[in-house]
Amino acid sequence: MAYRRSASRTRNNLSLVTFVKCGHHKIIFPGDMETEGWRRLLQNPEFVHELNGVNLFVASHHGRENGYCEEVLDLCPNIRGVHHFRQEERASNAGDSGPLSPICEWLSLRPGYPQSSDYAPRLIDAIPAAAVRNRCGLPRLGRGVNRAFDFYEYAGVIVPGAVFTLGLLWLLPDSRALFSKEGVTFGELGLFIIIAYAAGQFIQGIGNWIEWLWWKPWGGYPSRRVLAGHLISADQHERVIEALRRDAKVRTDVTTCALPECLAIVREVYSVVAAAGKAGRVDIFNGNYGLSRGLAASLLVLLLAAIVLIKGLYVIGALVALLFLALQRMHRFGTHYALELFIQYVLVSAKPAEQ
Amino acid sequence: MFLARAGIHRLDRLLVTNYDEDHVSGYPDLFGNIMIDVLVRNPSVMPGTIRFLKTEDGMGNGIDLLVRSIESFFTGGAPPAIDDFGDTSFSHYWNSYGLPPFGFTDEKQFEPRYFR
Repeated sequence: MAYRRSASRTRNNLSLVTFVKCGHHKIIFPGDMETEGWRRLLQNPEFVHELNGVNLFVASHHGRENGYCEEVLDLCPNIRGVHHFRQEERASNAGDSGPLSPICEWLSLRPGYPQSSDYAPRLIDAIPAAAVRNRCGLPRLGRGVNRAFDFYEYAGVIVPGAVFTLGLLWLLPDSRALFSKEGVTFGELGLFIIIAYAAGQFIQGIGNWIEWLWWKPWGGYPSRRVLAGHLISADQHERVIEALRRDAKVRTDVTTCALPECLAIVREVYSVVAAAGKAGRVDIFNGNYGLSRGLAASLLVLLLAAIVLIKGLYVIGALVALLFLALQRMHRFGTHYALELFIQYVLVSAKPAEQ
Repeated sequence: MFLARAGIHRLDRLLVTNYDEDHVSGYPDLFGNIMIDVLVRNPSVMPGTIRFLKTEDGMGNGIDLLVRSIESFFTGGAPPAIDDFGDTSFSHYWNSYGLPPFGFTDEKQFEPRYFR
């Protein structure tokens, strides 16, 4: 019997004591270390130094009396929580019948420390949410690095970029070697999205020139045309002008103002609508307008490439037809965007007067 | 198998805090289903010593497989080349084993040792 107790004690005192440090959190896992083993470890200055900063203490030997060592706890001034693994094991020990484990009693006697009722029953609850969110162990990525794309970026940048990239792969068979023939792997998909995103940005640059050219014969951008009194009824136009004079204190004649001034007014109008939470449909029209403009730009570049590479008449004809369709959609969504924006603006700015 | 259901099929490190059955009862399940890269344990305790210390209590399935895998699988060797866990770090301390029946005799600490 004496051997058995001794062997068990020896095994426990040979426990591995692990410190896990994650951000501002430091957790100690002492296994089943008993008092005698703790005291031996305290002879190591490095171990003593390591105890400083522990804020979550996993009770040794399931919180049993023989796993308790006051000298160790005295060296941990920053404890904010205690966890017991399988506390029922402690209860089964005849020597420990008190309601609190010794470590909890020690903490309860110290003002400013968490009281026994605060002790998290599960370790995961004791670890602050931030540490879990950061997924201890994974390198942190900056928010900007790992953020999700929004609707406009998907519709207006990635999709036209992907169409352009795929079109180029189709027109230039040699470039297909970039991607494996047997399906697309996850890594290649990621690479493709990056290339599509980069290509999409350039494509939208071309798209800006296209829209500048496109709207010229129609009398300028749709929002400018709305301001000039086109596309909407005379009554609506009157209300728009009135709202702009009242809220935005616009003094110039919006029907004839210069383009930069006109764009500044449109931006102001959008921010009023967005602040009122009414920009949902406006954003959808804007995203679709960006998509159509990007598609028109990709198709235009592909059309030029097809002409340079002397592709067949069918290919060129198909690209011309698709380009025309994309321009038609762009025109439609551009008009919808301007109408929706100003109608919402009139409604939003009319509300305070009604109340 | 909790980890496999959660989509985890490989562990970078498995820490064995002590050589008691209640701490390693899940080891056979883990060893059979998950790839364990490195076993971290008190390296001063030889497999034979664990058997010796378990003479009276008897060896449970977990401890038995752990001892056998220490003998044949996690036999030591060069520490892992990549030891980067981002903003999380680990440090280990232990008492070294002396000759029974005197129990542990040497409190000297070593650098953490890994067994692959």
